[in-house]
Amino acid sequence: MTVRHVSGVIYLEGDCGVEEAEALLQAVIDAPGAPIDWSGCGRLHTAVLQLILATNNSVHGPCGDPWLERWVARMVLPEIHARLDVISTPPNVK
Amino acid sequence: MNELQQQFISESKELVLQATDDLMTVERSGFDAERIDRVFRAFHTLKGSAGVVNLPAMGLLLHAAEDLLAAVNAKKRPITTGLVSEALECLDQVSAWVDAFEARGVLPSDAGERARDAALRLRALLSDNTSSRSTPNRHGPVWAAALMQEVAATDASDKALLAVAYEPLPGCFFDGDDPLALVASIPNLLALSIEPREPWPPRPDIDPFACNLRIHAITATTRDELAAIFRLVPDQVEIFDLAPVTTPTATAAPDTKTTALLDDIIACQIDMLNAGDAGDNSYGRYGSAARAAAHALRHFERDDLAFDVEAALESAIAQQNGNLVRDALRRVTAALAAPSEDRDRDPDSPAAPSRSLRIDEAHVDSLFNLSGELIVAKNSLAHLSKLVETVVGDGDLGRSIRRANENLDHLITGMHSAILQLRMVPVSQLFRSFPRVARDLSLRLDKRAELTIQGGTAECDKTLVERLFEPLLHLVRNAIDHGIEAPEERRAAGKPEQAHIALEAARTGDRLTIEVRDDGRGIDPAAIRAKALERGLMSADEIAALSDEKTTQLIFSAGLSTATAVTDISGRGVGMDVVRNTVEQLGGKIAIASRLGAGTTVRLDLPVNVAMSQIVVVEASGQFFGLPMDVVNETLRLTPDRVSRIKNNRGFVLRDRVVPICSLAEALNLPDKPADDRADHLVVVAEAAGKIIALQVDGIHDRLDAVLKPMKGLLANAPAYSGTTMTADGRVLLVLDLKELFS
Repeated sequence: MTVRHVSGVIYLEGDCGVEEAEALLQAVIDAPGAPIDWSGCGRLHTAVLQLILATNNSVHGPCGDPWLERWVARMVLPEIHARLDVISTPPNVK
Repeated sequence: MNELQQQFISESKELVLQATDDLMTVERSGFDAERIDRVFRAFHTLKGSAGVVNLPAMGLLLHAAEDLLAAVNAKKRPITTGLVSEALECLDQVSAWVDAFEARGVLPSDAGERARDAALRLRALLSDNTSSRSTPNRHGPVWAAALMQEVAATDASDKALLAVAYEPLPGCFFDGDDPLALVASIPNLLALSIEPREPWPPRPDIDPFACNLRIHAITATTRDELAAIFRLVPDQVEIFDLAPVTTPTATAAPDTKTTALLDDIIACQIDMLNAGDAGDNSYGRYGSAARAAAHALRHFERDDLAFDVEAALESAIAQQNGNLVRDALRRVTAALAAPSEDRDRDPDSPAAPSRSLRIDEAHVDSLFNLSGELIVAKNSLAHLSKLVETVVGDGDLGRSIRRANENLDHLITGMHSAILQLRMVPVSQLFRSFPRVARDLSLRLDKRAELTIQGGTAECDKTLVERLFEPLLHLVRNAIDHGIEAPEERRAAGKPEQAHIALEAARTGDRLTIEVRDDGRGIDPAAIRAKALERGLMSADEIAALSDEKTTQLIFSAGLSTATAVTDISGRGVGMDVVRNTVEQLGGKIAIASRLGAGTTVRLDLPVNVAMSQIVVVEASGQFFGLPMDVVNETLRLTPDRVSRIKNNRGFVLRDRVVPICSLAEALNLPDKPADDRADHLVVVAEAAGKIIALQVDGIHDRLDAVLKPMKGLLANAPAYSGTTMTADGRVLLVLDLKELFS
């Protein structure tokens, strides 16, 4: 099972083939605001990535696939990553 | 023809015009998503309606064109002159077919064949590889320019790069394609963007197995390598050559991606301020947030907003209230989110559509004809009241009739002008096809010319719009063919390579002036003189006596063309005199001014309403004729001593000028009274065909406002008459065309 919905988080694990798109879609419909954690995923089929883009759920990374992390994570989810970065970095104390 | 077909015809014409306009604008000012989309929709609607009225040939052609435009719309294909030309040609064909359909209810018999040929041509344009024809734009397609900004930051930017546009088919997942995997196998990837081809539907409606992505990439690999990667989907991929980046592409407009980045930066600052409500080290946080935001704003050239943020920081420090910074940042976010409508607004689009009613032109025409008849019928009442007063001798009844007549006159005049107003159309209808003409022609002649239009909102009678097209077409063609120099010649003369032709209309009172202005080489008076002499238009002495200005006007004489090479565009030497004739028939004047090396201006001065003309009734040999008032200079009673005989001709001196006297009866071959040299001569001094002539008549009667009806049937070919109208007492009056009569 490569798409798992556990306590409010949708986990993508291992290679996610085209058939997983339907499972992911069902998961985001069931839990509209649930973050997607793709840190454990391997290869991601275009159909799956397309759903992440289309549903615009927040994504927890870094992505398990380095190529996606390098090219896609930065580009398609800039807002979430940027905010996560800021929140996780303690503000500069004077 | 049923209602559906009629609607198809009128709609198609509008769509063709609108799409033509949009295509030209897009070609001139580059990719404009909104316009491209509008063109696309126009083609789409045309295709659809062609199907509704069952014109499969037209549908076939439009379908091919639509596919091509869809590729443009999807930014898979750059807008090129060739592409615009093809699309325009397609519209021309559609327009011709619509005309044929309107006239005969069917398309021409060769329509199917033509449609197939044209569709093949369009499809060839769609399938062949653009890059082999080397994209004219150094930066490749628009999206590539945006991606190149990312590349510029890397050190790979000095290599020759390729831009890849990959738009997987919606059904590609079922073919086993994984577009992302293909893209991931591109070596030396430098930049990547993935965006939806269509906006995402709401979640429950998402089809997880329909690919809705458009992938753009820039890579430093080779074409062969890319071809190998995408060998199974060549139809979905386009590859463009990009020149190496030598300077940062500062020219690329900040697109949505960069503003998204700016949004993010500002959002982070707000998040950061929200994160720490404790208030301990708040000043440092507010300070750094404001400064970070201001720097980012400056970077994206929003100095105005940066200034706001800094001002807020200053007041925050002064008032010890950090919330001011947060508020300022929120305002900035709002300002960035607001679409910059003012900047993007299309200057051509009207602010609010005026309410209009679509009426068949024929109805307006028949209404107009009826109101013309009404004026003529009303004229008879004046005659009647005179009869009652003089013949019957009943002054009271006569006066009553006259009063009733005046009342009626007032109303009918009002109605007539209201109907004239119905016929008023903006001059832009006349002008709108000319940018296209200028474009096509300058392309054909390897010249560069842009035609601009001013004053298109000025209104005039539709007759003017209908009849001025040919003359203006000729003037514009002349300007491009003869007036505008080749680019190298212009460069040598210190002019911009792109020539400018202005088509300008202005309305003052009841006159409309139209100017056709070019900044070309101007007209050489010496060349006109030489040509006039060669053609025997004038004697050498006459020519020598002419000023340069007068000489230039000779260009309107029949049989004078100064072009050395006769092209199929202009230069047959029949043009300019035809232009003048048409303008004069419409009751207008034409003048030309030219400066050698600087350009030529042709100015048409026309009455806004051509429908109504003023007529003076004259009598010759017992018959009545109308003379248009605009040719009549004055009427004179000449005592016998003023008339001198020169051989068989008579003449008299009018303001130091000998004016020949001509008997109207003689000119019309009517039985003339024997010339009585002792009686006074009654003459109408008129100007016709550039000459002044005194027409001897037996009597000069009323003046009328009349609507001229063209000569019809057997009389249609009678050359001396311009039309007929009715007199007050119901008789038909023939109105003379003096120019024809004395030419």
